[in-house]
Amino acid sequence: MQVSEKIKHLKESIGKVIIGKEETVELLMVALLSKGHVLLEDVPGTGKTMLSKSLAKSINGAFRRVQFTPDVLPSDITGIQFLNPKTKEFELKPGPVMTNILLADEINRATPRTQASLLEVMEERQVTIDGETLKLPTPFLVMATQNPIESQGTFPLPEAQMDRFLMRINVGYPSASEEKEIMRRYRKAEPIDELTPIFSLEEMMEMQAIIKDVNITEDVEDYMLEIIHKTRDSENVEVGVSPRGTLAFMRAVQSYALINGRTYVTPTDVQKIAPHVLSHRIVLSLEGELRKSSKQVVEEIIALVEVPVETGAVR
Amino acid sequence: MQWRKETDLPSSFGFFIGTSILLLFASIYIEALFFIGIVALAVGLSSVYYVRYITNQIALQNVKRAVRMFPEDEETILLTFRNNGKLPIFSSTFSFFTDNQVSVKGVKELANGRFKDNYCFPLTIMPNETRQYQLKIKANKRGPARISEIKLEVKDLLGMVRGVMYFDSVYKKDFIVYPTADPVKGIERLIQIQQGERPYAFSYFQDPTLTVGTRDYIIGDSFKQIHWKASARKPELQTKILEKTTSLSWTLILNITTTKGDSLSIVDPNLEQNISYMAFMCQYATQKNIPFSIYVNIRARGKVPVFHLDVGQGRPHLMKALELLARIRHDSLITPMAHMLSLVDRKLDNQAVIIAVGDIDGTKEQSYYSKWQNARKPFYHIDTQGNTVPFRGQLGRRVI
Repeated sequence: MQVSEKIKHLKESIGKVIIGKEETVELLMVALLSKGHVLLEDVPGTGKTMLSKSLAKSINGAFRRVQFTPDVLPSDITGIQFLNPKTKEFELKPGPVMTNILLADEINRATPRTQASLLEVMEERQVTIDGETLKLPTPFLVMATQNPIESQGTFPLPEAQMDRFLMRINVGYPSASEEKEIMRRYRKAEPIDELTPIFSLEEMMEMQAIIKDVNITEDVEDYMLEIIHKTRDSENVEVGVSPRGTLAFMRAVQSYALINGRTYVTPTDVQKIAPHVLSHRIVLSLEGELRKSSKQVVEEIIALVEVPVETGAVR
Repeated sequence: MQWRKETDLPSSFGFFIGTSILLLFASIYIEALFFIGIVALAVGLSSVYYVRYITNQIALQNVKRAVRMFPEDEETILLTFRNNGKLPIFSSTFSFFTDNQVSVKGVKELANGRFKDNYCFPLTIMPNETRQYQLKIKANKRGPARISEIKLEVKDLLGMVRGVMYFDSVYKKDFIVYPTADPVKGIERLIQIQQGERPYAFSYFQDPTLTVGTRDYIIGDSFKQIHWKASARKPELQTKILEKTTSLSWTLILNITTTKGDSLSIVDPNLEQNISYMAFMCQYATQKNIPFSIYVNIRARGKVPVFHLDVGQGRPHLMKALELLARIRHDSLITPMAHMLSLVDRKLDNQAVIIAVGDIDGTKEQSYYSKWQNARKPFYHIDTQGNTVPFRGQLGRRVI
């Protein structure tokens, strides 16, 4: 079965649980194929946690959930070495990071030290516990959720942590008709109980390997780079997108193209993916932040950069 | 229904229809007039049909968006129209008002009022087409602004029949023009670190609710400080490491009125200047990571019956603060300053630095100022020149 068909199947499956969020599911798949991590952000009750659970169930991987609170310690995430009184030897007890999908629920409620315990895990896909380094299972995806409105008792994620997320996705409210459908579907049943796996882990890893073959022409490369460089020059931006961001951007557009059944990237893919991959990686200046959101700034940059067209086409 | 519609049939149209009916009657005697009469009648009726049809087919997209600007900033917004009908829309005129905190560039200005300006532009949309019109908005002065009284005037091709459509709901584009920031001299004197909850690496004080890590237990550590969960995992007892904290916060009080003796309060003529000082202090506090709260003696609904922003810090808090300052109107319902100070007194953080902007000479308020002075609370006033002046009270005694 083609990748795009499988993704369509997955969207339909998750669509039974999360109604009207096809685009969000598509972006989650982009992150999974790109070996990236996702930050789901929106007001409470928009289905962030349910979405994460549904995706985990659909890819037949191990799933762990950590509810972040101010008293969660770094060792609660990574794991510990403890003295076994029977054997009188130190034993390693890995934390919940030893999984395929880790749901870091309300990540901004943990202290910065606990948040920082995910840095190595997210970037290098390994965990070091008391000097001993363990490789994490593959595929590995961190899906973190946070509520951007609430500031009481929360610790904003530092820039270094934000840069490790491939995407920040705003889940958003459903439309009136979608909400009516939600009311109907949840009246008698819990649709998540009926979800069955669509992908095996092996299939997922195969697809992760395939995306590297998706072609990006030089024109599209230049287009992407111009967007990236504009984020560094914009008057509203204090810190632009990092080279790590550039690589993440490239991988994400490749995945998006593959999901849509293509083996090449178009400028439309770039335009579609850019706000999700770049907006959380830029730091706005004080005045810039007072005027606009980072997503608006990225969208403005996209509108400013000239779009490459095929040779011979009229510009 | 997005629009309230009115069709205007002018007397010239009545004359046209009347003439065509007369021609039809006249055709009894002169046959050639029959055709002219029929054509004229058909043209007249189809004009009415066209206008009534078109007015049912136009939609204006109304997506909520807040546009935040500083004075002199320019921003482009898009007005998106959709013609759902099968007939094109020609010679129609879209008009609207904006509060004069903003102005619209590149479109015709019909009228320039004291509070609102009227603009219009011609509109042409083909059948089943979505068309976007760009409006370049320029921020003129502090305050919120909206596009209101939206009207679309549609005419038939001959200009005989006129349909007027009034946009029936609120157009959800908010423009917020922030105040400019004028520097306050001696603001650095307002940074006074005391015992409290703010993380501070070199503080003597700790927040017992904020565990940031653990360390091995040392004899003498308090029993309450043992981290039992961490101790259970390790071969020895672990003691909680607590966040070292301090307190540094500002309570900004803005009096928008001035009192001449015991007479009625009037809006302070220096209000705009005072708001600019407030804006500067909010920006300064944000840059220095100082939490701040704001009280303005304007009546408001809710638990706190005055214009008020709870204590907070960071850029989102600054955005809220500047928006609050932008929304202060000269014609707002005023809360007596003494009432507001009683409220501030009840909510006041013991360690907060109190900074008053505007008139502090009202006789009824002096009891609060004296109370704070006697309690040795750091209390400053920003005078009309933008100087930070420690409150001296009636005895001329410095607070600190």
